[in-house]
Amino acid sequence: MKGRRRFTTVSLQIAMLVVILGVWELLTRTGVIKPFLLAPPSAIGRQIIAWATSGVLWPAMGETLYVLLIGYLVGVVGGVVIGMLTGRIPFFRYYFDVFIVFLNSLPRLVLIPFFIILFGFGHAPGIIVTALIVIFIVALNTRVAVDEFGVDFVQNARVLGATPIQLLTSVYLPGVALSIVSSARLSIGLGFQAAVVAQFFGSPAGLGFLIAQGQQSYNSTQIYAGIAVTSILAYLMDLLLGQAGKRAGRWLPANA
Amino acid sequence: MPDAATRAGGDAPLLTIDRVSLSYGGADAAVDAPVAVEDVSLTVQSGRFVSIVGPSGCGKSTLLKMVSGLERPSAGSISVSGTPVRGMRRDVGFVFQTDALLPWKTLRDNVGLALRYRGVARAEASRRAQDWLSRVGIGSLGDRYPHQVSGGQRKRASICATMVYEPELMLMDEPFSALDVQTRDLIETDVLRVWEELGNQSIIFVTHDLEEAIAMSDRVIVLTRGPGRIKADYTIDLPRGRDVREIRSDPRFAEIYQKIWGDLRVEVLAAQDRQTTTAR
Amino acid sequence: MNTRLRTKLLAWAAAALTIVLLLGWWQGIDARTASFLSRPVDVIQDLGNWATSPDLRADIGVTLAEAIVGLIVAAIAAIVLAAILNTSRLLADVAEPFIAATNSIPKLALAPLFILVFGIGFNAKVNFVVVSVFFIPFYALFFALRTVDPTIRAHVRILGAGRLHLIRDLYIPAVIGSLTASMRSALAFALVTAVIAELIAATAGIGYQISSAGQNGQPARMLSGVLVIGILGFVLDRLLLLVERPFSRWRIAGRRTT
Repeated sequence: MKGRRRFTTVSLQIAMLVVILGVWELLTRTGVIKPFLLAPPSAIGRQIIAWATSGVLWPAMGETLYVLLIGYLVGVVGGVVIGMLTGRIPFFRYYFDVFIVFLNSLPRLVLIPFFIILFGFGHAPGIIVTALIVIFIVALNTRVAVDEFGVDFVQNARVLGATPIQLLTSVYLPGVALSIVSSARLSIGLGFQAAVVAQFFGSPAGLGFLIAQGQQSYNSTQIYAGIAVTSILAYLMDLLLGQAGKRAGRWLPANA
Repeated sequence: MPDAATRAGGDAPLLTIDRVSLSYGGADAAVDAPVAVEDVSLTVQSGRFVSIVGPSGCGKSTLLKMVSGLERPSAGSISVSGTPVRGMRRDVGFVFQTDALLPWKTLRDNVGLALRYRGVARAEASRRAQDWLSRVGIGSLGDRYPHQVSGGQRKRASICATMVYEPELMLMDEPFSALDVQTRDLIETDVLRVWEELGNQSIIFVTHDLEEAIAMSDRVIVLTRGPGRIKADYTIDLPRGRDVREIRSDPRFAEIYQKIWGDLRVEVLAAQDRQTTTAR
Repeated sequence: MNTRLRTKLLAWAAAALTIVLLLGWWQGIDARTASFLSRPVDVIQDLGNWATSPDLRADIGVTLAEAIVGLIVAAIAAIVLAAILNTSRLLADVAEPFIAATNSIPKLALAPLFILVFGIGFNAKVNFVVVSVFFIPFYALFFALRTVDPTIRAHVRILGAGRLHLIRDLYIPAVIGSLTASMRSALAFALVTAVIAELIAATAGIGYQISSAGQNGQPARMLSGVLVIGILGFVLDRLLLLVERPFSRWRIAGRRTT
């Protein structure tokens, strides 16, 4: 029964996909929906291919990914450090809480224009904003994981003679690795969004630039194509991190 | 089969299970799907407390679900009070193993829910619900939400919620397995008291705890390991008006326990064997 | 207990000291740097303008309206769509991967699209907020309806609930529960979305003011604008918590997720 039901579900999904794409193409090609409002899938596809072959796509992707990567790494590392500090040492917890409560209400993305004035149109604004967004998420999640970390594991290791450093590397880090990976996965979507949005504001390159350029030149197909590429990239990154998460969580029982 | 399967009695049985089987995957499972319960036949008269014991995976919970109408058998038929079970039965009560109370309603509102569904006015339903809560000792907790009270108190409320419309047949699926031993003993004594007060209600009680089963029942049925079939059917001739803890020191208790455990043990060990081999 | 209190006070003192030092250093920068960084005193002073100037107050009102109207429409649409998709289990199963796919789209990246297609007016901004924010309550509601506790559902059915009873006693509370839970982040996101859209292109709103200030070399206004958003977000969040309280009485007090 399960097999039969699954077959029905999947075939309906494929059918739905075909129908959606077909109707979309039809309505926009014939002009029922103005192609300016909603670009036909075929046009979007052509634009992406044109970008790929003309060598525009790869530098743009590279540019955005570069900003994301640096900001993301800084954010993750910083987040883990702060998370572990605030999780283990009460002084740091209370200390950082003061700043976190205040800064959390402040949407980091709206600081982009300010950072552009400070640092110019280069990579810096995007990297900084991405890092700020990621660091919050990772720090908070890591702190929670450290909080909830089984006291038994720690006490056991100490009885066995672990020094604080050994405790850190052999007990804490592996234990919270899963939480780190999951918060990394959570934050990469937002980090990527930050990198792209930062490129709306006068950046000379990147996927965000391609999208903004589409807007400025009244070319909605270009915008749709840019969004499509961005979304596919986001999806792939999430998939990759999902795989990494599975490997980190190998030791978990199946239903955890 | 060792002991008498049915009580002598002129009245028609409350529950008849006739050659019922269920394969995993539900009523429209594939032909070669594993079988949960196989060819089970059973009758229960009114006013009896019957326990079903068996190793994990023997299908005892599944059997209960089929009686209530939550699941449909792949073969065979079930009838309650003379009418066949087709879909959900409203004259049957079911107490689940896990929390089933609506978290967003107070205990009193939860207990009165069945009455409201049966068209009873709000004030009257509230009154009767409060009455039941008091009968099981949680009368002061009527306005609390489920998360505000202990597991034992929630379980008492769940029992009230199903008892409140006084179903002739009450089904309980390992209802107390999540509670600690002391709470369990207290609740069980209360359940027996309330059941005896009602008079002609039958309870079918599924558990893996043989002591619990013997302490509470008139009759204990042993199922084999999966696919579950009836292995044995014992009559418990211990006196009524029992205290669940004290009855265990009755010499007859130990005798009965040894006898039934003889049958059950074989099934439990075999089931464990199979579990470890499949785990490898 | 005493040591904990002591540590707390010590930490707060250290934090206060850090803030004072930072602000002090910032206040004391040279004039040339101050021309694009401004000074704390200037920012605080400008903050007052936001409260007193009617034009600035109107801008706050515009952004607020964009966010709240967008949020309400998004919430209603989310309830309707999540309910429709969950009327049949098959339908929900079929829809699920499509819904998961929409998760990958960075919503704020759609801003230029909405500007191009709908313009830069109030309605355009509201449309954008609706589409962006929609997904937050939608995902929550879709999965809440999909994963209603089967034991509770079976229990209620056995008690004699009919179809309508199930909707009233089981599904609607589940909807309200997950809606209130997701509203806080939806509200925060609505505010950010409105401001980002205004930053890119607009004729009014807090984001518009920040953008103009940037172009006119007024860093103090830029920063005070950011502060206003922060304060607005904080106040709205607290208000929402207050409004939610009667609806969340039955919840187990969980970990506060920011």
